[in-house]
Amino acid sequence: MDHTKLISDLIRVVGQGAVLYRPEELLVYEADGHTIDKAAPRAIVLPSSTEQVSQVLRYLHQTGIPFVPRGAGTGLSGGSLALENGVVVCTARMRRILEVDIPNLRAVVEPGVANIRLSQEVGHGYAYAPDPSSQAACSIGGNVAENSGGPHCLKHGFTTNHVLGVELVLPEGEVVMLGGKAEEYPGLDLRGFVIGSEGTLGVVTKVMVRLVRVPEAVKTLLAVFDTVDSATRTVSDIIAAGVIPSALEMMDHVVIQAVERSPVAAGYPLDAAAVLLIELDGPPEGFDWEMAQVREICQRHQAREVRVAKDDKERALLWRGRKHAIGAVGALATAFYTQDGVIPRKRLPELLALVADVAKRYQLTIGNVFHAGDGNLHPLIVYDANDGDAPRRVQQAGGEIMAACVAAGGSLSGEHGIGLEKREYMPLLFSGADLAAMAQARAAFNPDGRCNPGKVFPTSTGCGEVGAITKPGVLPAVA
Amino acid sequence: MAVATTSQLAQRLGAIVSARHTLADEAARPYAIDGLVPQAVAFPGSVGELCELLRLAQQDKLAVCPWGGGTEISFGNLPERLDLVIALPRLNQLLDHQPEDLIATAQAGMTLHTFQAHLGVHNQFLPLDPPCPERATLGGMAAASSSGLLRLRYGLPRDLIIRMVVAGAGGTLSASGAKVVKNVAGFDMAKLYVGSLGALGIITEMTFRVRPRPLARRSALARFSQLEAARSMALAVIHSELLPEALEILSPRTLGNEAWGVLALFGGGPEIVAAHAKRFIDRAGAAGAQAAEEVSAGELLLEQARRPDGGVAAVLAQASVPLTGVAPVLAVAEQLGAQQSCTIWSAAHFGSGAVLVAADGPEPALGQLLLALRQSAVGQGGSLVLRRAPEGVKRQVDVWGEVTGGLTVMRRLKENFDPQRILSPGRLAGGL
Repeated sequence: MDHTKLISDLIRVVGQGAVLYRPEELLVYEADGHTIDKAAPRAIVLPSSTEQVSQVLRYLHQTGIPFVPRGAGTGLSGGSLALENGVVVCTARMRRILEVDIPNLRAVVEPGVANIRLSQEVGHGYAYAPDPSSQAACSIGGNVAENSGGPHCLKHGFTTNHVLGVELVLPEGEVVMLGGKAEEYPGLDLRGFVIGSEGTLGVVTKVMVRLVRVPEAVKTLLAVFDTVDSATRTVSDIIAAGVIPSALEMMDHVVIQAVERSPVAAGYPLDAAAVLLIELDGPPEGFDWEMAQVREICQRHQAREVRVAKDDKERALLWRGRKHAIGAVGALATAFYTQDGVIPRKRLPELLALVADVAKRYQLTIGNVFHAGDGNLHPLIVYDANDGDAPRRVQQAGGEIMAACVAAGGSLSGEHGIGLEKREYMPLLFSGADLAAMAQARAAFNPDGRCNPGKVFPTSTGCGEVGAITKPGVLPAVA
Repeated sequence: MAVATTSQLAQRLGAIVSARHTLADEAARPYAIDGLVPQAVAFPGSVGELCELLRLAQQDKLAVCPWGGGTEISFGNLPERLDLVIALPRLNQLLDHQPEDLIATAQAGMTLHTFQAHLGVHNQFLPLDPPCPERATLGGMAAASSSGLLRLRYGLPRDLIIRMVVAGAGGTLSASGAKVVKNVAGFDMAKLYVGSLGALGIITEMTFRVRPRPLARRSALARFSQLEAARSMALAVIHSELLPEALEILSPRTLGNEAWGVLALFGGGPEIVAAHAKRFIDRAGAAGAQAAEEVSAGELLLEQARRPDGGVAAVLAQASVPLTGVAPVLAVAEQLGAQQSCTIWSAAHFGSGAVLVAADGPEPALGQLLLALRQSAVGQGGSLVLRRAPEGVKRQVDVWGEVTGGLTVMRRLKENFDPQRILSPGRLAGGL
């Protein structure tokens, strides 16, 4: 279709300032937090209401143009890239908090609301629980698409446990309300299916969330270890002992070094092999027992030191290093790449040994900062962007780590999603029949596949033959 | 269907699962659903046999309903057709339990009670407590999305199932999720199957997130002369620092008393549990309770909250409303009971907005009562479904009520997954 006509038609729906189409404007939207891949969109639409989203999607349906929903663009798997030269439908301007209903412990927000803003505005001892590391920037709509977690999801759950209703505009323009303020509604749980579907089923235009009371008290500990192995064994044993910390995060030597040499130094011992950041929350009466358990387990695994934050200031300091760890590691070189795999907790020691081995073999620096309590690894691969061969080695190293996670009984992604980045690896985890069932379900929402094409499903297999299995060892490179 | 056909079918089923594990004709009568007796019942002994049965059903276009323990089999619209019941009690193996990972995998036909016994060896439990755990199976609980009181703290089946394997209409197995507590790879297919009453496929295997057993548990009961005072107490507890595992309001008839009860279950470390039970009692005193005390026979009261009528009433309705809608629905239920001369037992899982109303009376009166009660729940921003009702009542009152959002998508899902309409046809909301 004629580009000029497309732009003027879109402007007619959403207004002059809400369509971006000049090459320099499109540049920002060529990639998201996953910086390795790029795709040029045809145009960006920034609707400001459900009605506008619906009109835009109806128009794109009539004209047969593919599109992709986008929130804040912080996603780490390339999920918001406009493949097939599609139109980006960005919800960044839909950022009103529509209702805070404290008696019912609910809030209703537009998808562009930044995660952190919701808890800040609710206040009064109530919060929205999921807190992904990017919470200052990422949007609730994006969280719904990715079923985001965060350090505290270990105890408090994921987006799917805290979002009770979504208003969805289907790819053909119909607006549907799935779920609502109550916990259950008659019929299939389409709400639950939409959460984590990576923007492949439509555009979410309203989100009803559960609010929770902020925990009565919080205790934060730092445990310091001389070997990675003893730190990971501590993680397994804490969970096995029946203690469920609200967060259980690990950083290894590479990360500690990077953090301590950066402006956000948190006071982690420079020579430690690993540190665990352990947070307990709940009624203060429970802390004695839990603290005793945690201390005993840390000591059993030869923790060099267990430091307890005395006040909020010390607690914030301990967390500062964790929250800025990725940035600090990133500053070590000109480029970095974050992997995201999950394994059963007890397999942590061997997987971390494998990561170290991979780093050596591919001559890469890999730091580990991750949600240890969930078994969710985030190897950070830093490399020199000017080294022509490095991206290839990074991809291969990442692929090897991912395959090892699946082989250990884990998963390809704990929170970043499959998106574009990992679609070719899906056959490692799912059979042709598994993927065919998922494709059938997607087709009920998105019959012609125009909504976020090219994501989640492997390209090696078209709709008709979602059966081909890629064998481990012959992994395709993710371009 | 002619008798000859039935016995022919029984023979073919017998070839798959052996004659010993097949029932037909009169013997199939106990497996009637809403009065509709199936031609035959088959008890597959392996997932392979189950898939074979589904292939046979597809060839012959036989309408199939899965059957777990039968505890929730009355949940659903009147079946459009029913030829074959596939009963799962023989698929009852524990496949995996990783205590240090807090996950466990079992086949769908295992009873909840047996699953809990396995987990209990490692001092863990599945925090789901629907009624009749000795008979209720894991698969049935998921397919009917049954829950109990503990949902306040731990969530619904949909929140605790992290991997699921399903046999689809043609007998094809497909899996989703992974055996790890955190995972976003692929679509969350389990969300579609939970609560689907077998309309998209038959669940064969599930991996659950499990929990350490609380070190201690205590329950406390406060009695109030008025519902309004009970409501106000319960709301205050939900918004307080107290963290009950369950918080219930019981109607006077349910409690077997003149008063409305607010029942709290506390679980966790012994110090927390003791402190919170005490604070609950103190609060109740300040809120004007007639009496408030710890109850030693807590389990009995908890059972009353799960099954207010003890399972005797003809009808069991469940409303799901926002918190502030709970008390109004309870009040309307009492009024309607009096108006329609029906006996009402009610209980609410207060913090979860779930109101159970059991009712006995003449069928036309029950129908009137349910329609009015549904109107009240919908008016509160929620809905009302019939978990159990006689056929006569189901003819008067739709089991599900109106599906407010996404019916078009649900219909397309049904078409895509079951184009021949042989899986639990008609039972799901919207006539799916």
